[in-house]
Amino acid sequence: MDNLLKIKTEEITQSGEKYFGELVHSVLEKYALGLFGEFRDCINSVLLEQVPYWKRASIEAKLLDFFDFLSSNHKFRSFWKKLRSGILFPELDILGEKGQRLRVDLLVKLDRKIMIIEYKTGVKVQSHVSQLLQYCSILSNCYENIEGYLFYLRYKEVELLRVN
Amino acid sequence: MKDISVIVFELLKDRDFPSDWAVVFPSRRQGFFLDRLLSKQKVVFPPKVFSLREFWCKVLSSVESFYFADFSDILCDLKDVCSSFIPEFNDWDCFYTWARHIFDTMELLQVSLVDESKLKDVVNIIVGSDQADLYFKIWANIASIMDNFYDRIEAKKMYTRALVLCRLNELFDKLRVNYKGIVLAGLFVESSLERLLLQKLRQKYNCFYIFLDLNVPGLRNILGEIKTKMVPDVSYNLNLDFDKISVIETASTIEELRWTVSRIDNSIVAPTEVAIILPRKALLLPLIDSLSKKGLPVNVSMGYPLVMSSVWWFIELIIRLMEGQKGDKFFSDNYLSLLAHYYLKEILIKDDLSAVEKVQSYISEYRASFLSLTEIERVSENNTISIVNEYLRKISVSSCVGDFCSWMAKFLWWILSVNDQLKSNIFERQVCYKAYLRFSIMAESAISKEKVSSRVIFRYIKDEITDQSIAFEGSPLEGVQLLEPMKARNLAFDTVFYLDLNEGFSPPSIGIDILMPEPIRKFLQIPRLRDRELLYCYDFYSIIMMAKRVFLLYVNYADGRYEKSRFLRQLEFMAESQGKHLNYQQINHVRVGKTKLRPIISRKKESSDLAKMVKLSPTAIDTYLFCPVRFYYKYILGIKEVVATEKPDERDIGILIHEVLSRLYAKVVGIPLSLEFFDGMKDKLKRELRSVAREFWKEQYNLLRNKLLLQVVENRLVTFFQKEKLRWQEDPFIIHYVELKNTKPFEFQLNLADKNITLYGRLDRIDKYASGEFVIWDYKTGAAKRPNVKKIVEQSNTGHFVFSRKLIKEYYGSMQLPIYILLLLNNLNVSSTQINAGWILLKDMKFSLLFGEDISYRSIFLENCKISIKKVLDEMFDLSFPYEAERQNCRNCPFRKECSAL
Repeated sequence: MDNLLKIKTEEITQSGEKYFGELVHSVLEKYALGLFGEFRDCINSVLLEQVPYWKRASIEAKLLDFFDFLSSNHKFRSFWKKLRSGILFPELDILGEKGQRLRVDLLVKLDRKIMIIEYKTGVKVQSHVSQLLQYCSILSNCYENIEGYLFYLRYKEVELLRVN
Repeated sequence: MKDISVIVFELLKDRDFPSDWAVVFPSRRQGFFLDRLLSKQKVVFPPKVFSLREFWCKVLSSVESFYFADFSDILCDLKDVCSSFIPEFNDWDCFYTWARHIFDTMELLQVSLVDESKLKDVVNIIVGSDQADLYFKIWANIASIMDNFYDRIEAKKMYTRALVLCRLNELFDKLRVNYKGIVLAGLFVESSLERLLLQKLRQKYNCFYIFLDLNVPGLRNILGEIKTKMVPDVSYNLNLDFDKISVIETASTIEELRWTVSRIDNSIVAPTEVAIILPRKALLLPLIDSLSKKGLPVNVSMGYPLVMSSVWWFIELIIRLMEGQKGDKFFSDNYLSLLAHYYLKEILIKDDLSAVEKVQSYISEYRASFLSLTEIERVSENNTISIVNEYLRKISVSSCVGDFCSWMAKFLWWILSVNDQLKSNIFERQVCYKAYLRFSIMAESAISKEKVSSRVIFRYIKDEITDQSIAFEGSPLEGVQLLEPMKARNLAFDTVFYLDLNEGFSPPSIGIDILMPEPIRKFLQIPRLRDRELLYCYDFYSIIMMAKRVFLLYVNYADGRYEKSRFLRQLEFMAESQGKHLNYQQINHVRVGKTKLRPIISRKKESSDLAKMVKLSPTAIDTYLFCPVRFYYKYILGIKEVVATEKPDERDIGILIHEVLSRLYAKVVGIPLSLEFFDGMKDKLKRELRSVAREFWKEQYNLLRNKLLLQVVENRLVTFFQKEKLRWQEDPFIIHYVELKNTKPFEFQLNLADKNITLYGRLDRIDKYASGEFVIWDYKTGAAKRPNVKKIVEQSNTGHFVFSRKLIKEYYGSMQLPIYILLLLNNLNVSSTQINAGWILLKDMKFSLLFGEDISYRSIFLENCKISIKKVLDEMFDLSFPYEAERQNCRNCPFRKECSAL
């Protein structure tokens, strides 16, 4: 049956990790949109919108801890500073060759190039690279100079990988 | 034919495909078909696509942050508010039964903009309202509950759908809608508030409304009421061409699928232009399987419900195991069924399957119907079984939702980690993973810490899992399109196969809204439930009108279930009115019978309990005749029958009538009756009935339902005594005996080959006539199974009567009355010709006698009866016979769960 069905396969991870990863994405989206100046405000907004009140306290501490680390991380700060010099389009929908809707975590228009960034909070897997290359290939119909980045954001560890 | 996606596409094309527009469809899946057109034009950045609910949430989030709460998120808040007005709702069992109805009703009232003062008047239109009734209390307090509840969750920024709409209405002028254009495509809006919002949106922003009108008699005007009431910017008026329609009658669902797949295989049309409309999701996987075997790719635009997957069966097995728990012991058949589930079996095969065999041998050797987990571990000596048992132990002692769900999540995670088959089977793995995620969420839900009964836990889990489904990835550019009717609304395909055009599926049964039935809806001017049916009707016609070729399939079920859909009948009628006929085709019928195995249980199991049986009631004998497996569960294992819930009213009515008649007649036993006795009965029975009812219902005496029942009982008793009086006037009788509480049952000794059995029975009443004849009366709530006296006597006379259990069952139906006669014969010194027996059917107050006036055959019948009882008992105690299930009326059997577990 596997080869017949195209079901939406999710990476099998403990529910807590998956949930945390989704929240990190939402905080970064709000941060990129520039709705709030500080991560703390973005976190509060995400908690209010996505986490029921009885679960907020425990998750808030974890998120604050995580983003405190990111704010103090040199690699993260310098990369984000570079992104801020362009126009940011977080959570952008694009269409694949077969008409399927795909969502880019962050597209940045700089003077002479386009940067596509995918945030990842789990372990590295090969499919991350092919996913990003697919986005680059689609966007190459509109733009010439495209750079794709996988931004691995884990607790106490930040890693930036240039894919193309 | 331009369908809705083409119209939206052209609208966007004229504006050079702006990505800063929003398109709102009835379902987001319909956006796929727009994306298909956009991608053909090499559009990279598409407009945003929303369902209407998503759109409202998105717009509101531009001005305030909120949490979109679902039902389980607000359960505790709702309970707190409800119980402050209605104390009965402090009890979770009572509250949970009503919770969803109250929530849905409040949501509907909010979005329907019902005037609050009108709500208070609803109590006046509830027929026979009673202030003690919960139904009355809910309606009397609904306005206050709503105010308090919505204030409370709003303060916590937890918004339900209704609250989102209310807030949008309040904040409309402050909204920041960042879309340069908004397309509202093919929408129906049932609620007044949503309609108002759409109208405001259209006035203030650059909105386009597209609606396809259908030229179907009767549909147009009514739909006008429930659609947005807006004049469309783009609209089509579609007509129906009957020549393109073929109706296919099949004999089974399998045939339906087989025929559809074969047609697609032979067709010259590109698979992407073929749509199969599936009103029922149960057909999805077999269909995908069949199409894929033909090498045809598919694009599935619907989710597959978790409740139809293997994981739900696994959850049900665990719930069943817990429900059948006796102390620390579990019903062994349920336990073995759980081990046999794919999830655990694969792990055990890898480990050591002989461990299960050890448990099975132990169960059969020691006739162990119930086993403790410790016993199983000792017998199996297997690590996997010990781990499984440890999870079961934790689950079984969970007293709150959080613990139960948390251990269920851990159990599923363990299975995901160790079951190799699940690792390689993507579909099964995702199904199991989805359930694991849901249990993890439920473990931290709002009610996770509440101490609730296992009944509430199981209901909560069922409710939560029912909403879950597995999503399919796909591209509308590839493969045959599989869609639900609503998701195919206003879409055009070359060829459409519309399956399941049977009542119950097309349209689906709408059900009953307990709190908001039609009269209340009418009073409050809220859309009727029937309107939903019109939406299905609209979807049906929009799909078939837009296709070039249409095949409508339905199943002509052999047992008459799910008759042909009303949509098909309407089509036939419409065609005839235009002097045309639908093209009908009946495909070769191959009826496939049910191949379910009948459960067979060795009689050696629990043989000591069987040997201990020395006294039997007619009901026990009837149970054995009806189904030996049912007898095994009830009388050998001693599992209590859950009282059938189908007709609780009739049950209560029966108990009351029975008790009132016993008390009234007990006062005149042995005393000649008189006309005065019957004439003065109306007042007497009224008093007696009130007194019996108060004892029976106690504090629930005043409930509305019980007051209505009381009236029914009174009417029936009045009718009864009118008939009784006429009977007495025709042939006077005296009351010889009446059964009262604590009276000893009648007994009769029967000698079998190896043991003696005492038959005993409680006789409701015995009348004695002037002729010397005694008549035993049995009060019956339900229908009576009548022995075929004529046939039994005929065959006895010719010596052709075969004394097998099945034939005895067929001829006798029930042994109850014949046994009663034998019991009375044993206690009175009279001949068999002087005794008759009959039923008083309490439902319609009819009197029915076993024997007619001819007394000559009574002794032959009773002789046959004695032999038949002996034969049945001989079989019952013969260990070489197994208990074999009869597949009759299993649907209403209280042991169907235990039985199907075998």
